[in-house]
Amino acid sequence: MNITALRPSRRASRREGNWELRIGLGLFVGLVLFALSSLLPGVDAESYGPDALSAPSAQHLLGTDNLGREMTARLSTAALGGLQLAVVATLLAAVVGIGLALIAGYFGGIWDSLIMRATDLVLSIPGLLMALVIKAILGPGTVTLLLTMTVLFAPVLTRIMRGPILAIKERGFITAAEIAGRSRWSIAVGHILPNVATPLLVTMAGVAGQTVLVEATLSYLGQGVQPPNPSAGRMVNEFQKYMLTYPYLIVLPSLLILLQVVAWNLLADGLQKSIGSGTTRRRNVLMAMIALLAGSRPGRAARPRKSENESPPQRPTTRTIRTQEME
Amino acid sequence: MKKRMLLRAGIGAALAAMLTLTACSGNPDAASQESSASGGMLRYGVDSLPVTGGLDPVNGTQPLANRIVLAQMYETLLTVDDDGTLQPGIATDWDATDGKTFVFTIRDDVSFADGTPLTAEDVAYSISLAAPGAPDQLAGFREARATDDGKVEVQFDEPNGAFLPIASAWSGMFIFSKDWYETTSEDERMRSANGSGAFAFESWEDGVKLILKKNEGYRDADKVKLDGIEWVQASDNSARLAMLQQGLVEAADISDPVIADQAEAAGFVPGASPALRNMNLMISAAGTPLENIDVRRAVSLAINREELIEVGMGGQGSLALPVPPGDPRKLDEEPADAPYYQYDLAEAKRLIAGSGYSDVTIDLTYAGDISAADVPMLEVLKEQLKQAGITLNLKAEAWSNITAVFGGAPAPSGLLLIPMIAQSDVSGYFAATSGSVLDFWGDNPDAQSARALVQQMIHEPDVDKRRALVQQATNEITDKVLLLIPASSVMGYEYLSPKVQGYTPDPFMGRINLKNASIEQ
Repeated sequence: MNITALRPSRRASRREGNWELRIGLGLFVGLVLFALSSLLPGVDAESYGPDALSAPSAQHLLGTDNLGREMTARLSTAALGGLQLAVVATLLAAVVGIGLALIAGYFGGIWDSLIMRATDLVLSIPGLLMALVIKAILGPGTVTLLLTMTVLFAPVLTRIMRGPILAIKERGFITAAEIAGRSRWSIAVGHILPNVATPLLVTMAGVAGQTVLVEATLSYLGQGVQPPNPSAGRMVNEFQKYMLTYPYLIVLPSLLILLQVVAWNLLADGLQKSIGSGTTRRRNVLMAMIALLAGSRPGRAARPRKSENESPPQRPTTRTIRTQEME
Repeated sequence: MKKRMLLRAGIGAALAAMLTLTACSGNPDAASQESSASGGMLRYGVDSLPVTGGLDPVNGTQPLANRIVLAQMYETLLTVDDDGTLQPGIATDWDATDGKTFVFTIRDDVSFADGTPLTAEDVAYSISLAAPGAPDQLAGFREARATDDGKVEVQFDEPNGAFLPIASAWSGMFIFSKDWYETTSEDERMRSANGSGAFAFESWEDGVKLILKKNEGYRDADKVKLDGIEWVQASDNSARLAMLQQGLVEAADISDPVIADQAEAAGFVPGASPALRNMNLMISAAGTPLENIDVRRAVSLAINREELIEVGMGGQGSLALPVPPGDPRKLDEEPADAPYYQYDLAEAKRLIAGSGYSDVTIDLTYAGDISAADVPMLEVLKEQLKQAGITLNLKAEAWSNITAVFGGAPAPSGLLLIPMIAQSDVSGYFAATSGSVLDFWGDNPDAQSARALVQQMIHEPDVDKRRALVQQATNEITDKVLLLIPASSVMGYEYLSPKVQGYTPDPFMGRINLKNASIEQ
C-alpha cells in the first residue's frame, strides 16, 4: 500500500476557493452596512411610538418592541455598538497582549516567567466571574466593558503570540539585526512583530467574535450596555417574557448575535486560510502594513530567508490521500 | 377456571396484605394525605425568602419579603380593616384621650407558639424595642409600661397621630415574648420565631423554602384550616408561573404584568393587585438645575403621565399623589387636579426658557438590579423630557449602593428612583422625603412649608385634621414640585390555583388572610 499526501493543485485550490473568507467578508460587510444605517437621518432607536408590539410588516420592517420603537433602528444601533466595541476592545487587548508577548518571548528571563505566570493566574479565573467583579468595582458602562474585555483577552493573545515570537527570535535575521546594533525594542517592533502578523490577525479576528459573546452575555445579565442604549443581549433578556406571544422580539436580537459571531469567526478562518496558503507577495504586503503600523519604514522589516522561512501556523489544508493497491 | 380463580384470590390477598402493612408502617405519604384532608399545606411561590434582618420581629420588619412571613407568625396590638379603620388585635380596647398617652387593654387568652402566655409586660417590651425604629413618626416616644391592672400605657412627650396606625399595621409593630427575645441570640432571632399568630416557625432552608406550621396554641386555631404554609423560593416570574402550572405550588407572587397576563390566561385566579407602589423620584436639588423651581415645574409638566402609563408601563399603572391610589386612606382629590401635574409641553418649554438655564441636564439614578422592570417607564420618561429640551441621563446602580442614602449618605444624583411601598401610617409617605434619615429636601427653601406640614401631620391625633394636613402637604409638594411621582404601579400580583378556597387578599398585600384559606381536595 502506498499512501501519499499531496497538496491540491493550484487549479484545484482555486476551484475550491476560500469560501470562509468570502462568506465572512460578505456577512461582515452586510453587518457594517446594517449598522451604519442607524446613522441615517430619521433613524431613532429611542423614540417610542403608538404601534407597540407590531409584527414585522411593510410599515415596520422588523416590527416594533413593547414601547413601539422600531426594531430595525434598535437592532442596527445595537449592531453598530457591537461592532465598535468588538473592534476597540480587540485592538486594546491586542496592544496589551502582543506587548506582553514581545516582552515575554523576546526579552525572556524573569520577565517571561512573571508574565506567563500572571497570564496563567488570570486565565484560571472564570471569565464571566472576572467580568462581574470588574463591573461591581467600576459600575456598569462602556469603559468598564472595554476594560473587562482587555483583561479577559489580552492574556489569551499573550499566550498565543509568545510561541511564534520564541520561534522567530532564534532566526538568523534577528541575530543579524542584533549584530548590526539595532536596539532590542527596535528589533522587537520592527522585525519580530511583522513576522508574527499572521497568527496575530487570525487570533484578533477570533477574539473579536468572543467579545461579541461576552458583551451579549453581560448585557443579558444587565451588567453590560445600559438603557436606553440598545444591546442585542439585553433585548434577549427584556423580551424573553414575550417568547411565546411575540417570538420575533427574541429571535431577531439572537440572530444578530449569531451573525456577528459567525462573521468574525469566518473572517478568522478565512484569513488563516488566505494568508497561510497565500503568495509571498500577499504576506509581504501584510508584513509591510504591520511594520508601518508598528512605526518602522515599510520594506525595512527583515524577513527570514526562504530556507529559514517557517510556514505560518495554519489549519490543516485540504489534502488528498491516495491509496494504491500494491499489485 | 379453578386455577384462574385461585390466582385472582391470591393476588387479592397479596394486595390486601400490602395495604395493611403500608397502613401499619406509618408511611409519611399516608400521613400527609390524612393531614391534607384538614386543609393541607399551602405552597406559595415567592421571589425571595426573608432577607436582611431575617425573622427578627424588630430588626427584620423592613423588607417586604420578611414582613409577609412575619405577619403569619406575629400579631399586632391593633388591626386595621379594609377601609383603614382601627380594629382590636391583641388589645381589645384602647384609650387615647390627649394624644400623648395611650392605654391598651390586653387580651388574656393569647399565648405564644412555645406555649407561654402573652402578658402586658411582653407588649410593653415589644413597643419599647420597636419605637426607635420610626424616629420621625414616633418622635417624642417616652415609654411603654405594663400597669398594675394588666394594661399597657404608652406615653409620648407630645401628641402623636402616627402611633395607632403603626401599632395596627401588619408591617409596623409586632408583639413578641420578652423572655424569648432576651434569651435568644441575634442569629437565633433571625432564623426562628415565637409569635402568637396563626402559624409557627417550622424550618428554613436557605434559598429553597421556609415552612410554617399551624400554631395549635393560636386563640382561633379552630378557624385555621391549613396545616401550614410552605414558602418556596423561585426568583424568576416565569419559573413561578411554571410551578403554578405544574402544580408544584398553589399560589405565587408575580411581579411582571406580562407574566401576570399569562397566568390569568392560563386560568389562575388573581388576587387583589392594588396600586400601592409609587414610583417616587426623590429630588435632591442642591447643585443641579432642579434647584430652580421653574425647572422642577417644567419637568413635572413635561411628563405625559397617561402616556407614560399606557406605553411605558403597559397600561398597568395609575396616576398618583404621595398617598398611592391603592391605599384606602388616599385623598378624594383626583391627581390630575393637582398643580403642575397635567401634561403641558408648551408651558414646560416656557418655564425652561425663563429659568435662565441654557442646558438642563439631569441625572436619574435607579437600581438596575431590582428596578429592571421599570426601565421601559424610565426610557419613555427620558424621551418625554427630551421634547421639552430637558436631557435626562439614566444611571443604573446596584440597589446595595443606593441604600447608602438610608444611612445618611448624599443622594447620587438630582433624581433618585425609590419605589415607595405601602406605609403603616400616611405620614410615612411624606416622612421619607423630609425625615431625620432620608432628607431629600435638605436646605431647599421651597420645602420649608411642606416640612412644617409633615411635622404637624405626625403630631396631629385627630383623624379629620390629619386628613386636612395630608391634603395641604400634598398640594404644597405638587405646587413646589418637591417630589416627582410619574405614576403608581402594582406592588405585586398574586395568582392562586382554583383549589385555594376562602382566601381574600387584604388591601395592603400583606397576605395576612392566608389563615382563612384552605385547599380543596
